[in-house]
Amino acid sequence: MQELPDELERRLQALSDESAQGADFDPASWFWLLLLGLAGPIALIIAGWRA
Amino acid sequence: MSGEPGQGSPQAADTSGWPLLRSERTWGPWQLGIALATAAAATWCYIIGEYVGSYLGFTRGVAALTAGSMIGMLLVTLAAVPTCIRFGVDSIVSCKPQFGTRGWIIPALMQYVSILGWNSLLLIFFAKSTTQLLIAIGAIRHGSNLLVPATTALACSAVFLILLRGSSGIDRVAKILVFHVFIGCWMLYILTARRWDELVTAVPPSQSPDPLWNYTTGIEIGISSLLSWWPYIGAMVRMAPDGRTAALPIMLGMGAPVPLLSMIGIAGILVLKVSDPAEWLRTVGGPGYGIVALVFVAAANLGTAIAGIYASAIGLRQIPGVDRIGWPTLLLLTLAPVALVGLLIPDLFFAHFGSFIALIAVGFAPLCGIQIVDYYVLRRRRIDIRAVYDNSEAAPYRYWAGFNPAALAAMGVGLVAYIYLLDPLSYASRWPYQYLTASLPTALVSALVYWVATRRWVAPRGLGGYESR
Repeated sequence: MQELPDELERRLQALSDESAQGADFDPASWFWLLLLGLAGPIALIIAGWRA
Repeated sequence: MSGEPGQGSPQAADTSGWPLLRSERTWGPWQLGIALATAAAATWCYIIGEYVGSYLGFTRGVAALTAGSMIGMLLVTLAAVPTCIRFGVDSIVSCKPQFGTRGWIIPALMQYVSILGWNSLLLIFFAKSTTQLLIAIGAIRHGSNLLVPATTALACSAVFLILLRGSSGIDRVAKILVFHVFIGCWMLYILTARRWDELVTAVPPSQSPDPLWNYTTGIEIGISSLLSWWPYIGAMVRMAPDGRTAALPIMLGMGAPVPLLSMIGIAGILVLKVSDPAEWLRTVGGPGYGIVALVFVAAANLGTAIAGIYASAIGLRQIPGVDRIGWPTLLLLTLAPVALVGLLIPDLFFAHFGSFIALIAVGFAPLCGIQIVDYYVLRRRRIDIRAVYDNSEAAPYRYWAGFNPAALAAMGVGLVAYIYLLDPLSYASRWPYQYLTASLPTALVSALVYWVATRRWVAPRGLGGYESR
């Protein structure tokens, strides 16, 4: 294992605890991502083609 | 200025490229959304709109570009954001598990070239807009060849001074410059209100006889333009504490402003044959509106350039040796090539903008496919953050001599697939481009190649830190 700078080591140590990490996308985030990035664009593509 | 890494302060971490702790990630949804909007809304929107307006009328153009932009934003978000948001790292660090302890240099070079190109363009635009503004208000006279180079140098100096404070510099400027998005909406209103009949009946100047090809190309331009946000997004979202805080600001703050402001370019090219509002607002509204437009263009470009230079500097931090130099020196190293392009070859760079934006999609579509399949399918969301910073021989992400052949193969196949579907220089296309675009199949093919290579050759050899199944 490579020796790391003290400050980086301190940060990695802190992040080894999963509760100290930032949370991934939650269900509400997935809803918005899929609505705005998938369902919305598909609807827009269909509507735009018919226009 | 406490910018040296290793000093233990939040600002040192902010400028070092090391992971940020949750206590240091203080941006809320509004703060993140405004910073992202400032990064996304710039002069390139008019050029993007100009390209779409060359193939499609206003209604179809807006629909295709908006849909493509939001799809592109989703791809970039799924690829880079999960790792960035969990560990407070930037986009380059997020790709080390896929590319290896040395192979990450490939995305890093892509990031550097991409941001260098975009920011050279922006600062040249900024210099030209500021020069025109000074002439318009009578502060200077016409005729000096030194004005644009001098303003470019001034813009670089302003970016340097603002970024000396790290990401707090972006936040401060973002709060002011976000108003240019609203001014952009006002400019669009001016044009649509006064020239609506001409707008809806205008014929796109370069449209193909195949309406489906035109429509797909509008979508493709949207996707490929938003893939450009991969280098930027990590450096911004690492300041937010979690995915819930970031999801909506990313889609609305970074994804939506591009199609919104690109409408100005679509409308401009269709009605007045000019996409830059600094030129057409004087025609439509008189010199007063022209001055407002010039202020808008100058402010928008400066805001985006600041975000881009910051992201690029953070990315360079990962290079061995660069991680030990001071923040001001790193900023100078990042800004120097941008300044040189702006000072020495601005016209040459402008002439090849179309090729530049198309080539970005060639690189970033495969990268997004690789990251998405690796994070969600192969690793099942498990990233070893310590291994990301471990460059030893036994490091989990060492692969072969620091490079992951699965990633290299997937990038290579993706590159060939994109060029087969759509020549980025001539826009000549092959089946099934008109049904699928070029970026989406490219990302899919790269993801498949990466998945097969990893499952068959990389993971069975115990490399890459994949859990055996």
